[in-house]
Amino acid sequence: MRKIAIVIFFLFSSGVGLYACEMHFSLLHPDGSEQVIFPGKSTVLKEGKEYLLRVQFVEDHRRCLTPPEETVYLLNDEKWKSAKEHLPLILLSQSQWEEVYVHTWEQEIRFKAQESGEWELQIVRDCPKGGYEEQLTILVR
Amino acid sequence: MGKIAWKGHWTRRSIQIIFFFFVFFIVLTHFLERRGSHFPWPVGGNFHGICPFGAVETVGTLIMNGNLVPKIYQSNFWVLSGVMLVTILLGSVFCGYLCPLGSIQEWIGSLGRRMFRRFNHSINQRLDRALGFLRYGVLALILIKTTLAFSLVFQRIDPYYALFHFWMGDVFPSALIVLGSVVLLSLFFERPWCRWLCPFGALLGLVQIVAFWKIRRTTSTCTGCGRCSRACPMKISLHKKNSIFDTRCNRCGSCIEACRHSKAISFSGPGGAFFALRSRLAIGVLALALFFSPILYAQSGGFFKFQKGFHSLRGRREALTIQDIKGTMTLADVAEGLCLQTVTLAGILGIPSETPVSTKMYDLEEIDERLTIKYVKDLLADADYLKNDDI
Repeated sequence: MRKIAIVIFFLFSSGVGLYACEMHFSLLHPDGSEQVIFPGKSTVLKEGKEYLLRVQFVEDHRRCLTPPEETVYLLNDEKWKSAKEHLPLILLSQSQWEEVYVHTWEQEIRFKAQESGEWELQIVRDCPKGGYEEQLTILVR
Repeated sequence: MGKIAWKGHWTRRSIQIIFFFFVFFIVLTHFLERRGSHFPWPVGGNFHGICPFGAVETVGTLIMNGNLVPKIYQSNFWVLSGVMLVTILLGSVFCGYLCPLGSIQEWIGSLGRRMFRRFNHSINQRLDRALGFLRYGVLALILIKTTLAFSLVFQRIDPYYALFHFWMGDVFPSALIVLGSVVLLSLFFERPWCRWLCPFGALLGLVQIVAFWKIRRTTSTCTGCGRCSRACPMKISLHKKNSIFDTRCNRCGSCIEACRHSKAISFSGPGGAFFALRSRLAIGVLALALFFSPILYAQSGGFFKFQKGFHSLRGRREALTIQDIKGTMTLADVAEGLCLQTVTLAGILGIPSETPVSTKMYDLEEIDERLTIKYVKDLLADADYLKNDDI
């Protein structure tokens, strides 16, 4: 009986509910091809063309303290917003975050590569549990 | 001295308990700091930042594009240096004396040994050895997946992370299931995770092949009775070998303790008895000294950082230049970096002096839409406070 009780205790304790952020990026080119992009690696875009950036956010913690809406995009250290036409990548539209799977959220951002040069798009999730802070290097030619 | 020094596992157990609670203390203080507690000692970083395997996981991304995976910092490399130093000299003593996950499996195993008569005997040696190769598969898979995904994929199944965080609600169910399975299997088998699945153990097992100190058998005094092999929790056939190169040996010393013949088995260097470590206490103390030496060196030099930027890789605090200001810095970071009081900085930027010092620079746009980083830099460059020095 004691053995069974101990085994049940271990089984029960292993089942105590628990889950923690992680992000994945892909770019839809004007020709319809999709490219997975990674922080730290440069992505080449054509000047004047429109692109679709698909951002997927996976909650690393079961109790996520920072909702997806609080994800911040910084282009050259400035908040990337649709009204900012002086930025080299013009944000045209931004979809609402949608929970595509359990604990997985997705957002689509349509933008235009307006100006040639090398630009840094930073993605920041400010969270006491660690959050997320990486940057995508965009080369517009 | 001799055999008496090897009797019982109390020394090793004591070191395991101290180290376990040391890691738990770090996790707890970090958790409490997140909830607003303040400590007189530096807490910084997170659990991932002190995980030696974190530095291994990011090797692929470091080689491919020079980046560290998110949540991995310079600090991981210093902790890994400590583990490697221990392993190159003493073998996998980290696994046997320090690793908290190994310790908890052993403690649960002690319970299993009392509960079940056939503890650790219901698996044959060939299968056990074959299962041991799974560790290399797990290691390769983690390295490839981490490099491709540019994230800590192992966290999803990591029982070590789960062990210290299950009470916080931060752990993936998959990692909890792995932890639960490891705990349960530990009731029947000695260190199941270490023997069959641990990727870090696999790596350390390979490194320990070149270790200076090894378990060595002196053939002239050994009678080949096999007591050492039967005592080995990892089921290594020591009595058929001259020295242990087996990647699963964690230097627990059970073989030396079991041997009835003086000096037939020793924990020694290639020079024989001259370099022999004659007790678990000597091994433990040396291992702790070796493990902490790179970390203390980095701490004393200011290199032990839970950061990737702002501080240089050499770790020394650098004066912040206006051009270095980033959107992700806080008002406090910028004020400190420019050696200004936050009130003075607020005055230069024209924001209310009661603006929280934790406000991110990119959020200043929400206070005044003109306050983009570029405009902030222009304001600071024009400020009289900063014009006369090197900033």
